[in-house]
Order: sequence, then structure tokens, then C-alpha cells
Amino acid sequence: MKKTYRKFIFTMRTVAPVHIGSGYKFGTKEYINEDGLIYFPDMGKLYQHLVSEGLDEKFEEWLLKRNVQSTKVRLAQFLKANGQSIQGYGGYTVRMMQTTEQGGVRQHASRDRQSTEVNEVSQFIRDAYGNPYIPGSSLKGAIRTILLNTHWKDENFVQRYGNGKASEKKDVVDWGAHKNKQFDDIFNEIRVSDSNPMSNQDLLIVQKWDYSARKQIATALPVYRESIAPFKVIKFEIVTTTERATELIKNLSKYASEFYTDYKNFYLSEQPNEYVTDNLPGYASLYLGSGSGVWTKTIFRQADGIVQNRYQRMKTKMIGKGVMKLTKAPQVKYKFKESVKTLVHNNESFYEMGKVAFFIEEVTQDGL
Amino acid sequence: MAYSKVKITGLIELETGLHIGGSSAFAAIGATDSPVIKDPLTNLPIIPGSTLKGKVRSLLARAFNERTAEKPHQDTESIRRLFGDSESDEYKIGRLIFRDAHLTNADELTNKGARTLTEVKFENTIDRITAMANPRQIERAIRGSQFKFELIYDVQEETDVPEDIDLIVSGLQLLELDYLGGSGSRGYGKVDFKNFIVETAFGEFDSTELQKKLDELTPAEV
Repeated sequence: MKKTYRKFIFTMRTVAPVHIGSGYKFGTKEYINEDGLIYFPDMGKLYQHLVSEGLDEKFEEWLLKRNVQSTKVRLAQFLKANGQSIQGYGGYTVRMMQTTEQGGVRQHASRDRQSTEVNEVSQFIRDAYGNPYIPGSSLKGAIRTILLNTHWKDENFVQRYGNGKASEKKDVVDWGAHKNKQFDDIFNEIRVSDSNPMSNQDLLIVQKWDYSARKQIATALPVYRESIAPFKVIKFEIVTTTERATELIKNLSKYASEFYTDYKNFYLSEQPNEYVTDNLPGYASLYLGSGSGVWTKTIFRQADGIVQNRYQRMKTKMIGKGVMKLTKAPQVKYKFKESVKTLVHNNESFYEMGKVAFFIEEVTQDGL
Repeated sequence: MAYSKVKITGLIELETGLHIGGSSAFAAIGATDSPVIKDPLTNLPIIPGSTLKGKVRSLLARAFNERTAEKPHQDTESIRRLFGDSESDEYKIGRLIFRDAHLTNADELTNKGARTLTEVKFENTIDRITAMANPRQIERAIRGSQFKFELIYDVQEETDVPEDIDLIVSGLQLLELDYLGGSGSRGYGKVDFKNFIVETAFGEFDSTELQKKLDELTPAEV
């Protein structure tokens, strides 16, 4: 039999918080924030309990109350005020990055908002059993971005319309079936599996921080995300079905390094070095999930100038190449060749959102 | 050899969510735009026999055809013999019958904490020039689901049996390395065949060798 299928194990280690959204955001009335832990009760169960206690009308009244910013109307306060326990309604609990762990000098809270106050929390994508995992589609998108920026870097991906608007030319790399043409779809020949399921212990709720190099100021934003904490290991399987796909995947670390170097020259070099999270020795780096910034998602050399236009109409204009996307998480120390290293090099615990390290190895198998 | 019918049963376990598309004609705005095919009586996801048969055939054609076939009737003889060939008199009806596979462990999944037996996955296309996102929602049968799989093999010519058996086993093995249903290149539809039972339902076919080969089918590693 022709040997066509090649299997690779893609081992990822997060070096900064990584968030992949499920599409759902918990509102301020859907969780309980206590002692650095955020409890997301099963709201159905909670409501059933309140009905059995005869508190449903009061609860509905409370739900309609405004001024959710104030801690006085939080779910915990409502339950306590009505003599109810603040736990035991199913759901799950996730650690919150503690404000006491946030030191720092050049930071200020956005507008007059307290940076300690949590508002909406974006949920991490979960399987049907409630376990967080990373979908293969997310990793594959990140791999594709790397390959388009390196292997296909000489192609022109910009498509211009009559009105001057631009978008991505999607057929530069052939895909899909065409009548009377041989099927040619290289990204169909690369199959990226979903990751192994993780647990809520691997997660940490982190806040979004923007750093402006121009103003030399880091701003806390009211955006909270359930993220994978730094230094967690996650595994994927990648199967390639043709030789050309195998070549790309075998050299993925090389392509990723090339992408990273170019990204550094293009963008990171304009940012303070201390905020750039370290790469892991022996690993290649890539950016995954939300909050890592537009330049990690685009063919950035060609998108430069076009992306900025999109933000012209918005309140938050993008100036130059925009602000650096940071987040805070506990410092991680690790040992490498007998010496102790740290992932971050600033004393404010700032990480680059979405940065991961990886290596890839082929699994040899008999028969096929 | 006298005519025999061999029944191969087993379980298809999903290692990742599976999407075999159904009709989205009545999807609500802002809700799942690509639902999965379901049994109308139980409303549980199913794996149609046509999906299995089509996928196994095209995988085998890829592996065993000496020349690339543009049409199914150009497949190599051993494949046409098993799967049928509408343009040939001899192999008009193939020797394999694939049954629709139904979900069997709904209760177990619920006990394991699954709230629903299909999940809705939010995905996103990011334009690599404008960074604009274009979200979509896709329904999947959930990881851990088991479907009862049944395959009937008609034994007609004794001399063909070893080759037929090899082909059936290879087909299932290839499927474990590939994917079932849609969007497999981004992780969907990784399946694992389990608990094969081969029995001769009619006739006197000796099924021990086929059983042995299917038992040796290595489970796909996670």
C-alpha cells in the first residue's frame, strides 16, 4: 500500500495566557466573585432553587435593576441578603488573577473604573462535558497564518474593489472543488485535531491591558477572559495526507521562527523589550486565540495600512501599528540547564496575550 | 462455497465532534447555520450508511487504484466488486451493505455530564488583510458518542474472500486515520472502531480470520 498518511504530535506549552472564546459572555449577574475565585453557577439550577425558596419574583426584580457596576448589586450580595448560600448550584469555579499580584508603576485604570472590578467575562470554549479544550480549527488558523506569511510570502493577497476597499484574496492558495479541474487543496491535506480536554484548574481569568508605546502607559480595560494559565502543556495530532503537506508540517518550527522574527522586526521592535514574553529554549513560538493583536492574525506586511483604515471610524483610532496587547498573570519560573529563568522580564507581571511555544514530532507507525 | 452472509457489527466512537450535515432550510437567524443529520423519531444524531460507504470507498480507491479513477466505475475490480458498479453487469450490486449507524450510549453520555447530545461550535473566519471576523455556528455530535455500526458482507466467490477481507479491514483502518463527515481538516470527525463481532448470519462461512484481523485493527491514539 502507498504510504500517504503521516502523523505528527504537536506539543504546545502556553507561555502567556491564551483565550479561545466559546462565543458566550457571562454578564455581571451570572457569577460570584469571592476570595480570588469566580464561581459560575448553573443559572438554571440557581433559579430552580430560588423558586423553591419563593424568591423568584424578588430575583426577577433584582435582575432588572440597573447600575450593575456597583458591587452592591452583585449576585453574591443578592443571595446573602436573602439568606441563601452562595455556592452549591452546579456550574464551575475558575481562579482569578489577583489584583494584589499586580504591582507596577506606569499603569492606570481605564477612565474612572476600578481595575479590580470584574464585569463581563468571556467564556473559554468547552466541550459538551464542560471541559475547556482548544479546537483544531483555532490551531489550524494560526498555522495557516504562519504559512501564508512565510511559505507564500511572495504572493499578493490583497484584493481591491472599485470603492477603494480591500480584503483578502482567498483563492491565492487553491482550495475547494472546481468543475473540470483536479482537486487541489493543500490545506485539506493538513488535518489538525482538537486538543485533549483540559480542566478548570488549568484556567485563569485575566484582564486585558493595552500598552501604548507612544504614551508609555498601560491601560486596564474592562475585558476579562477565561484563559489557559501560562506553562500548561496541550497536545494535538496533525495528520498530513500528501508529501507537499508533510514538507510544510515538518518545517513548521522553521516557518514559525521566520514568522516570529519578521513579526518582531515589524512590530515588537517598536515596543519595550521588557514586555515581550520570552520564547522557550528549544521551542518555536506562535500566537493563538483572541487578544493577541491584528498583526498576529494577518499577512501583516500587506495588511499594514489597510487594517488601520478599518479603525478610523471607531472611537479608538489605531495610531501607527496600534497598542501592545498585554495581560497579567502570576510570574512563572522554570529551570533550564541548571539555571532558573522567568517568562516575563518586567515587575508588573505583564505577558503578551496569546503567546505559546511548541514543538512538533512525527510519530512513526507500521502498516500505513 | 455456498452463499453466506457475514454480519460485522461494532461501535464507532467519536474522538472529536462529528458533523454530517443535515438541511439548514429552517435555521433561525443567529442560530446554528449548519445542523447535523438526525433521526426524526429520536432527534439523535446518526451516521448514515451512505456517508460511511462513500468515505470508505474513496479512501480505498485512493490507496488501491492503480490509475486514478475519474468516475467510480473506473475503480479497480476488487473495489467495484465490494461497492458495486452501475455500469457493469457482473458487479451491478456490490457485496457490502452498510447500515445507518444509530447513537447507542445517550444515557451514558448524560451520566458523564453531557447536557446536550449535540454541541454548537462557534467558529470564525478572519480576513488576513482587514482582520475582520466573520463568525459561524456549526453543530456537532459530541465527543464520546458511540454509534452501532453494522456491515453485511455477501460471500459469493470463495476465491475472492481473502482479498475482500483485506480490503474491508484496510478501509476501516484508513477511516480511523482519516475523518468522517465534514470539516475534518480542522479536527472534526476523528473516529475509532471498537468491539468488532463477526458472525456468519447465513451459510457456512468461517469468520475466525476476519474476526482476528478486525481485532488487530489498532485503535487510533489520542
